Amino acid sequence: MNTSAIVMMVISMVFLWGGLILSILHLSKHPEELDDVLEDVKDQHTL
Amino acid sequence: MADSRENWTSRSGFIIAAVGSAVGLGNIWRFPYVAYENGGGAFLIPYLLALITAGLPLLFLDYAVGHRSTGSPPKAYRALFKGGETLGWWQVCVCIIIGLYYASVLTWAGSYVYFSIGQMWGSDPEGFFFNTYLQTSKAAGFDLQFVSHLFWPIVGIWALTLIILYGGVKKGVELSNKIFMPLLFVLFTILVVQSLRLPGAVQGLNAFFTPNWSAMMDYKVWLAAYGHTFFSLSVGFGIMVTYASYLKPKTNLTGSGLIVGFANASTEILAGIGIFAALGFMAHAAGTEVKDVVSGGIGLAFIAFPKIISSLGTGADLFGLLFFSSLFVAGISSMVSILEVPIAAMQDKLKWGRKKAVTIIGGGSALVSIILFSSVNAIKLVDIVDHFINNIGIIGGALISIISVAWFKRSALKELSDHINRISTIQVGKGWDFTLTVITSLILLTTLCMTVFNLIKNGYDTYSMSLQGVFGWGSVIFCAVVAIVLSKMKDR
Repeated sequence: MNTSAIVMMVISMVFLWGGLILSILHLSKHPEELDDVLEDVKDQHTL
Repeated sequence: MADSRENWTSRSGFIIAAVGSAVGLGNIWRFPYVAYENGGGAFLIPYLLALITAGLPLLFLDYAVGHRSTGSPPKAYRALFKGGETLGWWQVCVCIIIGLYYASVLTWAGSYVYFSIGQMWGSDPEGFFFNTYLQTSKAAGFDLQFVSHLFWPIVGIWALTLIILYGGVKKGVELSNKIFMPLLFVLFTILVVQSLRLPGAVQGLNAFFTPNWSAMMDYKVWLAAYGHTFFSLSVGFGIMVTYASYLKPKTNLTGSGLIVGFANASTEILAGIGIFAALGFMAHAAGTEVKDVVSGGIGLAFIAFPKIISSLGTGADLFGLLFFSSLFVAGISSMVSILEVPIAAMQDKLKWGRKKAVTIIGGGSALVSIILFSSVNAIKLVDIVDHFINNIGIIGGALISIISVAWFKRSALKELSDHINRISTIQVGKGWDFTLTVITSLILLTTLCMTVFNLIKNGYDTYSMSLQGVFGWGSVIFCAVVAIVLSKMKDR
């Protein structure tokens, strides 16, 4: 592959796949709110 | 008695379903071609900017609209501004129309999984596709001649879609996506690896990634980048509004949206690599340049790829199975999301139970779709309706939804940003406001004006005016009339 093609390929892969990994890591550090989970448990008991 | 409103099992269930909706046929057959035609590697700059300045902001807007109201588009937009329900029904109608022809294209992809075993298209894939398989009518007008081998597969597609939808949000939509998305990832990754091992693959990657910097000075390239990002993310026609309405009250909207946006774009880059590696092989085998063999859309999937598969020798069956199965799996999850919009809307409006809504809306759509698309007109109708409904139906609906809140009722935009910021980790502010008010609005307005002007002046392609009038403009008029009528009806 020529140099400019390799550079563009690397930039787009790093930006998009890197963005995907970072956004997954970000969300995993912020778990779902506990009160929503509790609401679910409450619903199951009610049913 | 209506069921109480359903929820996703978890945030990850929503994310995987939203990715399943966004990742569709367009990721595989549209993006690589659009990128190549608009500057190759240089296109990636406007594409990445479009993702950040239009795709993600619009995705957040759709999520906020649906989540804030816990309703389908008519209910959600009615809660935001006067006349909003008509806009919501317009988006619902757009989804119904898309569902009709999307089932047809899925039928072709599913049938080609079977045809790829032994390469049943023989030495003339183009003749096989148009004449032997679709039996395309030569008549200029409408010709409702039945094609029996298109009938049963499209019945099967509708049956599968309706079975998933009968299952509901958790056990239907979410569960199917939890099966289809990992399957698509495995199939498509193997396909890309196989493509990269072919002789000539590097030639293809060079063609795809080598930047043509002068293209960046062309405003049409920028419009293409923004237009593609917009279509690719399934924003602006009610799907993301509906999916977000099933989220629990305290869901991190922007955090989830980032994953959906980046996952969708990551799949497109992967598709570009796989498709162009295969096209490189095709050019290598034919002793020509990649520019001589490149194509997109239906031509890429059902003509170019069969040619590539036939040239592979021993690995042909496997390669064909991987490619057409990937198309099929990517498409079925999008098909489910498209139909979910009208089903949710009727549940909200008429307080129908899920089974009743699926039977009447899904069953009615299936009937119309099966009659229209198991005929010799299938490809013509797909092409015409797709062009009009994408470029006027989706763009028009999205434009009105954005300018209604960004230009005319700024307090609604403030309410939406407050809603996002109350529950999300990544906050939206002036940047989000600016992208919606200025960038996205003006780009969509420009695109819509250019398309409508061009369609009125030149028509679409070489199709007869009667076909364009009935099925192209007719689809648009249908959406407008039904939207107005339904918005006048009282809720039950």
